Amino acid sequence: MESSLSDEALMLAAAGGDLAAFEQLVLRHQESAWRTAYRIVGCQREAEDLAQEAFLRVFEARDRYRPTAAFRTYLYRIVVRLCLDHLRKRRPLATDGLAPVDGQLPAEQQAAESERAQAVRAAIGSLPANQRTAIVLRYYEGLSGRETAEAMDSSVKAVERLLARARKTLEVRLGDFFPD
Amino acid sequence: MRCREAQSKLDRFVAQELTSAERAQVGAHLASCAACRRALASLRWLQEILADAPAPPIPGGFADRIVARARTQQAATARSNRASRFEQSAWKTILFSAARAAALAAGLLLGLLMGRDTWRASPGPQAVAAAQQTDLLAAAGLAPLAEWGGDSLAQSYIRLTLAGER
Repeated sequence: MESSLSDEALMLAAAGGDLAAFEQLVLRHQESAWRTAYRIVGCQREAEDLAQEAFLRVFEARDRYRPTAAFRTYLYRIVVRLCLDHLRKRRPLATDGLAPVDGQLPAEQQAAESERAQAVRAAIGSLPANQRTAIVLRYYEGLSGRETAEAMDSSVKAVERLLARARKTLEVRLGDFFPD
Repeated sequence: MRCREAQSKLDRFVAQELTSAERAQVGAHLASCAACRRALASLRWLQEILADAPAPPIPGGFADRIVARARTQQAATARSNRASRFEQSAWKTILFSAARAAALAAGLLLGLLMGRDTWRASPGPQAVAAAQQTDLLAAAGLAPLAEWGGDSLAQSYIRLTLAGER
Protein backbone atom coordinates (compact mmCIF):
# COMPACT_ATOMS: atom_id res chain seq x y z
CA MET A 1 0.00 0.00 0.00
CA GLU A 2 1.35 3.43 -0.93
CA SER A 3 2.45 5.53 2.02
CA SER A 4 1.22 9.06 2.58
CA LEU A 5 4.37 9.98 4.47
CA SER A 6 6.73 12.54 2.94
CA ASP A 7 10.00 11.41 1.39
CA GLU A 8 11.89 12.91 4.29
CA ALA A 9 9.73 11.09 6.86
CA LEU A 10 10.23 7.79 5.00
CA MET A 11 13.96 8.40 4.94
CA LEU A 12 14.05 9.04 8.68
CA ALA A 13 12.04 5.86 9.24
CA ALA A 14 14.52 3.95 7.05
CA ALA A 15 17.33 5.34 9.20
CA GLY A 16 15.55 3.77 12.17
CA GLY A 17 15.67 0.35 10.48
CA ASP A 18 12.32 0.41 8.69
CA LEU A 19 13.03 -1.42 5.42
CA ALA A 20 9.41 -1.04 4.27
CA ALA A 21 9.85 2.74 4.39
CA PHE A 22 12.93 2.46 2.19
CA GLU A 23 10.98 0.29 -0.24
CA GLN A 24 8.32 3.00 -0.49
CA LEU A 25 11.03 5.50 -1.43
CA VAL A 26 12.35 3.16 -4.12
CA LEU A 27 8.89 2.60 -5.59
CA ARG A 28 8.23 6.32 -5.59
CA HIS A 29 11.46 7.38 -7.31
CA GLN A 30 12.62 4.37 -9.32
CA GLU A 31 11.23 5.68 -12.62
CA SER A 32 12.96 9.04 -12.41
CA ALA A 33 16.24 7.50 -11.28
CA TRP A 34 16.12 4.98 -14.12
CA ARG A 35 15.14 7.55 -16.80
CA THR A 36 17.83 9.97 -15.73
CA ALA A 37 20.56 7.35 -15.66
CA TYR A 38 19.48 5.99 -19.05
CA ARG A 39 19.43 9.38 -20.74
CA ILE A 40 22.82 10.35 -19.37
CA VAL A 41 24.73 7.11 -20.10
CA GLY A 42 22.65 5.90 -23.05
CA CYS A 43 22.77 2.19 -22.20
CA GLN A 44 19.97 0.28 -20.47
CA ARG A 45 22.15 -2.26 -18.69
CA GLU A 46 24.53 0.37 -17.37
CA ALA A 47 21.64 2.65 -16.42
CA GLU A 48 20.03 -0.13 -14.37
CA ASP A 49 23.27 -0.81 -12.48
CA LEU A 50 23.86 2.87 -11.81
CA ALA A 51 20.31 3.64 -10.71
CA GLN A 52 20.33 0.63 -8.35
CA GLU A 53 23.70 1.70 -6.97
CA ALA A 54 22.27 5.17 -6.31
CA PHE A 55 19.49 3.73 -4.16
CA LEU A 56 21.93 1.52 -2.28
CA ARG A 57 24.13 4.54 -1.59
CA VAL A 58 21.06 6.28 -0.18
CA PHE A 59 20.40 3.25 2.02
CA GLU A 60 23.99 3.05 3.25
CA ALA A 61 23.96 6.72 4.19
CA ARG A 62 20.54 6.62 5.86
CA ASP A 63 21.97 7.20 9.37
CA ARG A 64 23.72 10.36 8.17
CA TYR A 65 20.77 11.74 6.15
CA ARG A 66 19.64 15.22 7.12
CA PRO A 67 16.60 16.71 5.33
CA THR A 68 18.36 19.95 4.42
CA ALA A 69 17.31 19.53 0.80
CA ALA A 70 14.38 17.75 -0.84
CA PHE A 71 14.97 13.99 -1.02
CA ARG A 72 14.29 14.06 -4.75
CA THR A 73 17.15 16.49 -5.34
CA TYR A 74 19.39 14.45 -3.04
CA LEU A 75 18.69 11.30 -5.07
CA TYR A 76 19.23 13.08 -8.39
CA ARG A 77 22.57 14.34 -7.15
CA ILE A 78 23.71 10.79 -6.37
CA VAL A 79 22.45 9.45 -9.72
CA VAL A 80 24.19 12.27 -11.62
CA ARG A 81 27.46 11.82 -9.77
CA LEU A 82 27.50 8.04 -10.38
CA CYS A 83 26.64 8.50 -14.06
CA LEU A 84 29.26 11.17 -14.71
CA ASP A 85 31.93 9.14 -12.85
CA HIS A 86 30.93 6.09 -14.90
CA LEU A 87 31.24 8.01 -18.19
CA ARG A 88 34.67 9.30 -17.22
CA LYS A 89 35.90 5.76 -16.60
CA ARG A 90 34.24 4.26 -19.67
CA ARG A 91 36.42 3.32 -22.65
CA PRO A 92 36.55 5.89 -25.47
CA LEU A 93 33.54 5.62 -27.74
CA ALA A 94 33.33 5.45 -31.51
CA THR A 95 34.93 8.29 -33.42
CA ASP A 96 31.64 10.06 -33.95
CA GLY A 97 31.57 10.70 -30.19
CA LEU A 98 28.06 9.39 -29.71
CA ALA A 99 27.07 7.72 -26.48
CA PRO A 100 25.83 4.14 -27.14
CA VAL A 101 22.31 5.44 -27.34
CA ASP A 102 19.66 2.77 -27.71
CA GLY A 103 22.28 0.08 -27.95
CA GLN A 104 19.80 -2.29 -26.43
CA LEU A 105 16.47 -1.05 -27.70
CA PRO A 106 14.54 -3.92 -29.26
CA ALA A 107 14.78 -3.89 -33.04
CA GLU A 108 11.06 -3.45 -33.48
CA GLN A 109 11.11 -0.44 -31.18
CA GLN A 110 13.94 1.15 -33.11
CA ALA A 111 12.12 0.59 -36.38
CA ALA A 112 8.93 2.07 -34.97
CA GLU A 113 10.60 5.28 -33.89
CA SER A 114 10.20 8.20 -36.19
CA GLU A 115 13.12 9.68 -37.99
CA ARG A 116 12.74 12.73 -35.78
CA ALA A 117 12.90 10.70 -32.57
CA GLN A 118 16.06 8.96 -33.76
CA ALA A 119 17.56 12.31 -34.65
CA VAL A 120 16.70 13.66 -31.18
CA ARG A 121 18.36 10.69 -29.48
CA ALA A 122 21.47 11.01 -31.62
CA ALA A 123 21.64 14.76 -31.00
CA ILE A 124 21.38 14.37 -27.22
CA GLY A 125 23.95 11.58 -27.31
CA SER A 126 26.36 13.88 -29.13
CA LEU A 127 26.43 16.43 -26.32
CA PRO A 128 29.24 16.53 -23.75
CA ALA A 129 28.20 14.70 -20.58
CA ASN A 130 27.62 17.79 -18.44
CA GLN A 131 25.51 19.53 -21.12
CA ARG A 132 23.52 16.35 -21.66
CA THR A 133 22.96 16.08 -17.90
CA ALA A 134 21.67 19.66 -17.73
CA ILE A 135 19.27 19.00 -20.64
CA VAL A 136 18.02 15.77 -19.07
CA LEU A 137 17.41 17.26 -15.64
CA ARG A 138 15.87 20.49 -16.90
CA TYR A 139 13.72 19.41 -19.85
CA TYR A 140 13.07 15.74 -19.26
CA GLU A 141 12.90 15.56 -15.47
CA GLY A 142 11.37 19.03 -15.09
CA LEU A 143 13.67 20.24 -12.35
CA SER A 144 13.82 23.98 -11.77
CA GLY A 145 17.00 25.90 -12.52
CA ARG A 146 17.93 25.85 -8.83
CA GLU A 147 17.18 22.13 -8.42
CA THR A 148 19.20 21.33 -11.54
CA ALA A 149 22.13 23.31 -10.13
CA GLU A 150 21.87 21.48 -6.79
CA ALA A 151 21.68 18.08 -8.49
CA MET A 152 24.77 18.93 -10.54
CA ASP A 153 26.55 20.45 -7.53
CA SER A 154 26.88 23.65 -9.51
CA SER A 155 25.53 27.18 -9.66
CA VAL A 156 22.40 28.44 -11.39
CA LYS A 157 24.51 30.61 -13.70
CA ALA A 158 26.78 27.73 -14.65
CA VAL A 159 23.73 25.59 -15.47
CA GLU A 160 22.28 28.40 -17.58
CA ARG A 161 25.51 28.50 -19.59
CA LEU A 162 25.48 24.71 -20.05
CA LEU A 163 21.87 24.80 -21.23
CA ALA A 164 22.54 27.68 -23.62
CA ARG A 165 25.47 25.83 -25.24
CA ALA A 166 23.51 22.57 -25.37
CA ARG A 167 20.54 24.26 -27.03
CA LYS A 168 22.78 25.79 -29.70
CA THR A 169 24.18 22.34 -30.55
CA LEU A 170 20.76 20.74 -30.61
CA GLU A 171 19.31 23.47 -32.80
CA VAL A 172 22.09 22.91 -35.31
CA ARG A 173 21.73 19.11 -35.31
CA LEU A 174 17.94 19.20 -35.39
CA GLY A 175 17.68 22.17 -37.68
CA ASP A 176 15.90 20.12 -40.37
CA PHE A 177 12.98 19.64 -38.02
CA PHE A 178 12.67 23.25 -36.93
CA PRO A 179 9.91 25.25 -38.56
CA ASP A 180 11.12 28.06 -40.80
CA MET B 1 20.35 43.92 -21.38
CA ARG B 2 22.53 42.26 -24.00
CA CYS B 3 21.43 39.36 -26.20
CA ARG B 4 23.82 36.92 -24.53
CA GLU B 5 22.42 37.64 -21.07
CA ALA B 6 18.81 37.63 -22.29
CA GLN B 7 19.23 34.31 -24.08
CA SER B 8 20.86 32.73 -21.04
CA LYS B 9 17.72 33.61 -19.05
CA LEU B 10 15.20 32.42 -21.67
CA ASP B 11 15.00 29.01 -20.13
CA ARG B 12 13.94 30.38 -16.74
CA PHE B 13 11.80 32.99 -18.47
CA VAL B 14 9.73 30.23 -20.10
CA ALA B 15 9.55 28.31 -16.79
CA GLN B 16 8.47 31.48 -14.96
CA GLU B 17 11.31 31.21 -12.50
CA LEU B 18 12.63 34.76 -12.85
CA THR B 19 11.98 37.52 -10.37
CA SER B 20 9.54 40.23 -11.43
CA ALA B 21 12.40 42.60 -12.14
CA GLU B 22 14.32 40.03 -14.23
CA ARG B 23 11.16 39.08 -16.11
CA ALA B 24 10.51 42.69 -16.94
CA GLN B 25 14.08 43.17 -18.21
CA VAL B 26 13.95 40.08 -20.44
CA GLY B 27 10.49 41.02 -21.67
CA ALA B 28 11.65 44.51 -22.59
CA HIS B 29 14.65 43.10 -24.47
CA LEU B 30 12.49 40.58 -26.39
CA ALA B 31 10.17 43.36 -27.44
CA SER B 32 13.03 45.08 -29.25
CA CYS B 33 15.19 42.14 -30.42
CA ALA B 34 14.06 39.86 -33.28
CA ALA B 35 17.07 37.55 -32.85
CA CYS B 36 16.17 36.83 -29.23
CA ARG B 37 12.51 36.34 -30.16
CA ARG B 38 13.67 33.68 -32.65
CA ALA B 39 15.80 32.13 -29.89
CA LEU B 40 12.72 32.01 -27.63
CA ALA B 41 10.68 30.31 -30.37
CA SER B 42 13.51 27.80 -30.93
CA LEU B 43 13.62 27.05 -27.23
CA ARG B 44 9.89 26.31 -27.10
CA TRP B 45 10.14 24.13 -30.22
CA LEU B 46 13.15 22.26 -28.83
CA GLN B 47 11.33 21.48 -25.59
CA GLU B 48 8.47 20.10 -27.68
CA ILE B 49 10.52 17.77 -29.87
CA LEU B 50 12.67 16.52 -27.00
CA ALA B 51 9.55 14.70 -25.85
CA ASP B 52 9.80 12.60 -29.06
CA ALA B 53 12.45 10.45 -27.43
CA PRO B 54 10.94 8.78 -24.38
CA ALA B 55 13.05 6.47 -22.21
CA PRO B 56 12.43 2.73 -22.47
CA PRO B 57 10.29 1.17 -19.72
CA ILE B 58 12.02 0.43 -16.44
CA PRO B 59 13.31 -3.17 -16.26
CA GLY B 60 11.01 -5.59 -14.44
CA GLY B 61 11.85 -6.37 -10.81
CA PHE B 62 13.99 -3.25 -10.47
CA ALA B 63 12.70 -2.27 -7.04
CA ASP B 64 12.68 -5.86 -5.76
CA ARG B 65 16.37 -6.30 -6.52
CA ILE B 66 17.26 -3.09 -4.71
CA VAL B 67 15.25 -3.98 -1.60
CA ALA B 68 16.73 -7.51 -1.54
CA ARG B 69 20.25 -6.07 -1.57
CA ALA B 70 19.33 -3.55 1.11
CA ARG B 71 17.93 -6.36 3.28
CA THR B 72 21.17 -8.35 2.91
CA GLN B 73 23.21 -5.29 3.78
CA GLN B 74 21.05 -4.55 6.83
CA ALA B 75 21.44 -8.13 8.13
CA ALA B 76 25.21 -8.02 7.62
CA THR B 77 25.42 -4.71 9.52
CA ALA B 78 23.35 -6.13 12.40
CA ARG B 79 25.63 -9.19 12.68
CA SER B 80 28.71 -7.00 12.62
CA ASN B 81 27.30 -4.73 15.35
CA ARG B 82 26.46 -7.71 17.60
CA ALA B 83 29.97 -9.15 17.23
CA SER B 84 31.48 -5.76 17.97
CA ARG B 85 29.35 -5.28 21.13
CA PHE B 86 30.30 -8.76 22.44
CA GLU B 87 33.98 -8.09 21.87
CA GLN B 88 33.79 -4.71 23.62
CA SER B 89 31.95 -6.26 26.59
CA ALA B 90 34.53 -9.06 26.97
CA TRP B 91 37.39 -6.57 26.93
CA LYS B 92 35.67 -4.41 29.52
CA THR B 93 35.30 -7.39 31.88
CA ILE B 94 38.93 -8.40 31.48
CA LEU B 95 40.22 -4.86 32.00
CA PHE B 96 38.01 -4.29 35.05
CA SER B 97 39.12 -7.55 36.71
CA ALA B 98 42.76 -6.79 36.01
CA ALA B 99 42.40 -3.29 37.44
CA ARG B 100 40.69 -4.61 40.56
CA ALA B 101 43.40 -7.24 41.14
CA ALA B 102 46.13 -4.67 40.66
CA ALA B 103 44.50 -2.25 43.11
CA LEU B 104 44.15 -5.01 45.70
CA ALA B 105 47.78 -6.08 45.32
CA ALA B 106 48.98 -2.49 45.51
CA GLY B 107 46.95 -1.87 48.67
CA LEU B 108 48.31 -4.97 50.37
CA LEU B 109 51.89 -4.16 49.50
CA LEU B 110 51.54 -0.57 50.72
CA GLY B 111 49.96 -1.71 53.93
CA LEU B 112 52.66 -4.28 54.61
CA LEU B 113 55.42 -1.77 54.00
CA MET B 114 53.79 0.84 56.24
CA GLY B 115 53.21 -1.74 58.95
CA ARG B 116 56.85 -2.72 59.03
CA ASP B 117 57.90 0.94 59.37
CA THR B 118 55.38 1.62 62.13
CA TRP B 119 56.53 -1.34 64.16
CA ARG B 120 60.13 -0.22 63.93
CA ALA B 121 59.20 3.34 65.01
CA SER B 122 57.30 2.59 68.25
CA PRO B 123 57.62 -0.89 69.65
CA GLY B 124 56.48 -0.17 73.33
CA PRO B 125 52.82 0.65 73.28
CA GLN B 126 52.22 -1.80 70.52
CA ALA B 127 53.65 -4.72 72.42
CA VAL B 128 50.33 -5.54 74.10
CA ALA B 129 48.39 -5.05 70.91
CA ALA B 130 50.91 -7.14 69.08
CA ALA B 131 50.41 -9.90 71.58
CA GLN B 132 46.70 -9.77 71.03
CA GLN B 133 47.16 -9.72 67.30
CA THR B 134 49.54 -12.62 67.52
CA ASP B 135 46.81 -14.77 68.97
CA LEU B 136 44.48 -13.61 66.28
CA LEU B 137 47.01 -14.12 63.58
CA ALA B 138 48.06 -17.49 64.92
CA ALA B 139 44.43 -18.56 64.91
CA ALA B 140 44.25 -17.61 61.25
CA GLY B 141 47.51 -19.36 60.39
CA LEU B 142 49.21 -16.03 59.71
CA ALA B 143 51.73 -16.22 62.56
CA PRO B 144 54.67 -14.97 60.46
CA LEU B 145 52.93 -11.62 60.14
CA ALA B 146 53.00 -11.23 63.94
CA GLU B 147 56.67 -10.23 63.69
CA TRP B 148 55.66 -6.96 62.21
CA GLY B 149 53.24 -6.07 65.04
CA GLY B 150 51.72 -2.63 65.58
CA ASP B 151 48.47 -1.22 64.30
CA SER B 152 49.66 -1.11 60.73
CA LEU B 153 47.48 -0.88 57.65
CA ALA B 154 48.26 -4.54 56.99
CA GLN B 155 47.16 -5.49 60.52
CA SER B 156 43.98 -3.50 60.17
CA TYR B 157 43.23 -5.15 56.84
CA ILE B 158 43.80 -8.62 58.21
CA ARG B 159 41.71 -7.84 61.33
CA LEU B 160 38.85 -6.67 59.13
CA THR B 161 39.12 -9.71 56.91
CA LEU B 162 39.09 -12.10 59.81
CA ALA B 163 36.24 -10.24 61.45
CA GLY B 164 34.28 -10.63 58.30
CA GLU B 165 34.86 -14.36 58.21
CA ARG B 166 33.44 -14.71 61.72
